[in-house]
Amino acid sequence: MIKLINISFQYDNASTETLKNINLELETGEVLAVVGPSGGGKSTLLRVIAGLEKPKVGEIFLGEKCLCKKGTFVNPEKRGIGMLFQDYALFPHMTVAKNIEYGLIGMNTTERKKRVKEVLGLVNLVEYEKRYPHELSGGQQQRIALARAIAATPKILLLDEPFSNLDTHLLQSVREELFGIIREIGITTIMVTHNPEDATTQADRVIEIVEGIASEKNWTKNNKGFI
Amino acid sequence: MFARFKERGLSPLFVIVTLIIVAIVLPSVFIFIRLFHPVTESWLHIKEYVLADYIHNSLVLVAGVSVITGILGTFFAWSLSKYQWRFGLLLESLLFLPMAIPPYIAGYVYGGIFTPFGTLDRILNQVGKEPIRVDILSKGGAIFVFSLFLTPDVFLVTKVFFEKLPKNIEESSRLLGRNQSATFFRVILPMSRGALVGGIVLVMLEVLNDYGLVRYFGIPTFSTAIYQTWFGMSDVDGAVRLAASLMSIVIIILLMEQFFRGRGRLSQARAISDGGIKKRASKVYKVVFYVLTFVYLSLALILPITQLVWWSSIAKQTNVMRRFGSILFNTISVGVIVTILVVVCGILIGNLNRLNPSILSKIYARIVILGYSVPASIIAIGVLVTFISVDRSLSGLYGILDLKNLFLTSSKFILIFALTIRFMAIGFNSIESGFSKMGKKHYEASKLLGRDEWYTFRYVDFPILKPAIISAAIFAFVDVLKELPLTLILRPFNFDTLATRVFTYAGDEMIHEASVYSLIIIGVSIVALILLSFIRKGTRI
Repeated sequence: MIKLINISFQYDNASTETLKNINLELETGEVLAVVGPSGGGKSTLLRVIAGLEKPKVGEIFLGEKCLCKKGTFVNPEKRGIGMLFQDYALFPHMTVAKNIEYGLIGMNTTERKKRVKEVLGLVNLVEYEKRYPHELSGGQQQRIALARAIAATPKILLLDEPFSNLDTHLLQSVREELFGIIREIGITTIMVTHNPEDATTQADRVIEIVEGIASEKNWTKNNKGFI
Repeated sequence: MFARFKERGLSPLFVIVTLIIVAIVLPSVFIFIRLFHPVTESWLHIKEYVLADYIHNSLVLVAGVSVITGILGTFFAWSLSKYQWRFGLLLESLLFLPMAIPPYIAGYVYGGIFTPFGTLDRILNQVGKEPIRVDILSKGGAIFVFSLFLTPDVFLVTKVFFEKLPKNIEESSRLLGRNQSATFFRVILPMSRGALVGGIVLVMLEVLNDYGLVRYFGIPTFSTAIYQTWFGMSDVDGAVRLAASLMSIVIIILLMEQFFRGRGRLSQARAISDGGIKKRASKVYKVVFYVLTFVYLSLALILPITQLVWWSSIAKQTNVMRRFGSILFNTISVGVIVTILVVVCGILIGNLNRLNPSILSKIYARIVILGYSVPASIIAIGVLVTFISVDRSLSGLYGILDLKNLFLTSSKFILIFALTIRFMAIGFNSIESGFSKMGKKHYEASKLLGRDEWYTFRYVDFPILKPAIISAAIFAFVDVLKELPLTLILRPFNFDTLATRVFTYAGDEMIHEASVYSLIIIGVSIVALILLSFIRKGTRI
C-alpha cells in the first residue's frame, strides 16, 4: 500500500539528519504505531509522508503512484493522504459541515451534503453540523477532524499524537471509538504516539524511532516483521 | 541557502518579495553612492558652521524627551497594571489618546497659547493680571510638547510587559526584605529594561523624524536642515551628506538599543500573566497618581482639544472651505492606495517568512522593520535621488511619449512609493504577529485536504488573518493621514493633504483655519484608536 525506500531527512538549521535511511512497507488496512522519545523524528516521518517536508534522499510510493523520488515530488494537495493533526487544525471560522466539505473537491452540492452526513454519522455527530469548532468539546473536535480527514476517502490516514490533548479519564473511550471507526472503514493508518499503551492496544505493528533510526518492536500479537 | 532555493525553484512569492525589498533598500543605496560625489562648497559651509548645531539640537531634544517620556510612561504603566484605581479602565483608555494628536499640531496649539497676545495673555488680561512670558518656541518648549504627546508610546510598550510580569517575582523580593520602592528599582525596572528601551527608542525615532514642530519652533535640526539645503540652496549632495549624518545617529541609537536590551529578552520570554489581580495603592501613592494623571491629561488632551475647538469655531468659513473637497480627496486617495500597498506587501513578506523560513527571509523581515527607523527626511532624499536618476535614464522614452522631464519625480507616484516604504513596517508588524499566532497548521491541513495555495489563502488564511489585516490597515491609514515631512517634500505642485494644509495655514498665521483641519485628523485618529482596541479585545485566535 505504502512503501518508503531509504528515506533520509534533515532540517535546514540542523547539523544531523532527523530521519536516517528509513525503510517501511505497509499493507492495505494495516495500522502502524510509531513510538519513540520526543525529538526522535516520529512526527517528521509523518510530515515527510504527507509531503509537508521534502526528504533529502529516498523514494515514497503510495500503491503504484510514486510520490517522491529524485526529480519527482508530488505536492501535499495532490497526494490524497488524510491527516489528523495533534491539535486538530479545524478551521475556526467555518462550521463543522463547512470544515468537512472543504476537502470534497469535484463533487456537486448534493453529493457534498450527502457525504458530510455520511461521515458525521460515522463519527456519531450528525446533529453538530452547524456548530463552530470552539463550541465543541476536545473529544468532539477530534472526531470532526477525523471526519474531515476521511471524507474525501484518502488511501492512507496519518495520526499525529491523536490523544495527547485529551484528559486521562477520556483517553480509553476516545481511543476505542477512534479505532473502531478506523477499523470499520478499513483504512491504512500510521499513528505517531508517545504512549506505549496506544501502540500495544490498537496497532498491528509498532516501530520505534530513536535519533532518526527506525527499528521494529515486538510489542503486538500480530507482528508481521520489518523490512 | 541558495542551493536550497535552486532545488525548490524560485517561487513567484520569493521573487515578488525580493523586488519589494530591493525597492525598500534602493533609496539608501542611492544616498550611499551620492556620498562619493565631490564635496560642494555649501557642504563645507554647513560642516564648518552649522553641523555642530544640528547635532547638538537634535541630541538635546532626543535626550530630554527620552528622559521625560521614560519616567512618565513607566509611572503610568506600572500604576495602572499593578494597582486598583477608580475608573481605571477609563483612565487607561484616556492615557492612550494623546497618541492621536501629532506633535506638530500640538506645537501650533501651544505656540498659539503662549505667544504674546495669545490665549494665555488674553485670559490674564481679562482677569486684570500682568502677562506671564513663557518662551515656548524654544528647545525647552519643544521637549515639553514632544514629551506630552509621545508618552503613550512608552506607556503602551511597558504596560504590556508589566502585565505579563509574574507576581511572585515581586513577592519574593518583598519576602527577602526589600520594600516596595527598592523592589521596583532593583528588580522590576532592571527586568523591564528591554521593554522600556524599546519604547524610548520609538520616541527617539519619532523626535528625529519630526519636521513640522521643530520648523514652527525655529529650532535648526537635521530634518529642517535637509529640507533647507535641498530646497533653499538647491544643494542635493549637501542634503545627501546631512541625511547620511542623521542616519549615523539613528544607527548609533539602534546599536545602543541592542546593547541595553542585552539579556532583558530572556526575562520577557519567562514572563507569564498572573491573572491580573491588582493591589490597593497607599494614600500618598494615590494622591501622586491622581494629581499627575489629571495634570497630564489636562495638558495632553483637554487643553489642546478645547483650544482647537475654540479656534475652529472662529475660523473663517471661506478660507476653511477653499479647495476642501480636493484636499479631502487627495488625503483619502493617497491614504487608501498606500494602505492597500502596505497590507499587500505585509501579507506577501509575512507569508514568505511563515512558509519558507530561511536566513534570507529573516533578513528581509529585519530590513522591513528597520525601514521604520529611517527618518522621513532621509527617505525623502533617498527616494528623490533615486527617482531623478530613473527619470534621467528614461528621458529618451519620455521624449517619444511626449511626457514632461522628471515625469515620475513630479507625479503622485513618488509620494505613494515613499509613504509605502515608510509605513511598510507598521503593516508588516501586525500581519506578522497574526501569522505567527495562526501558525502553519491550518495551511497544512488545507493542503492535505487537496486545496492549492490561492484557494487556501482565500478561504482559510485570509478569514483567520482578518483582524490582523484590519489592524494593519487602520494603523497604516492613520499614519498616512498624520504624516507631514514626506508629504511636504515629495508632493506634486499644488497637491495638498489635510496635514500639509495644517502646516501651511499654521505657517501663514491662519491658526484658526489650521485648527479645523487638525481636528479632522485628530478625530479620525481617535476613532481609529478606539476601533483598534475593540479589534484587539474581539480577537479569539
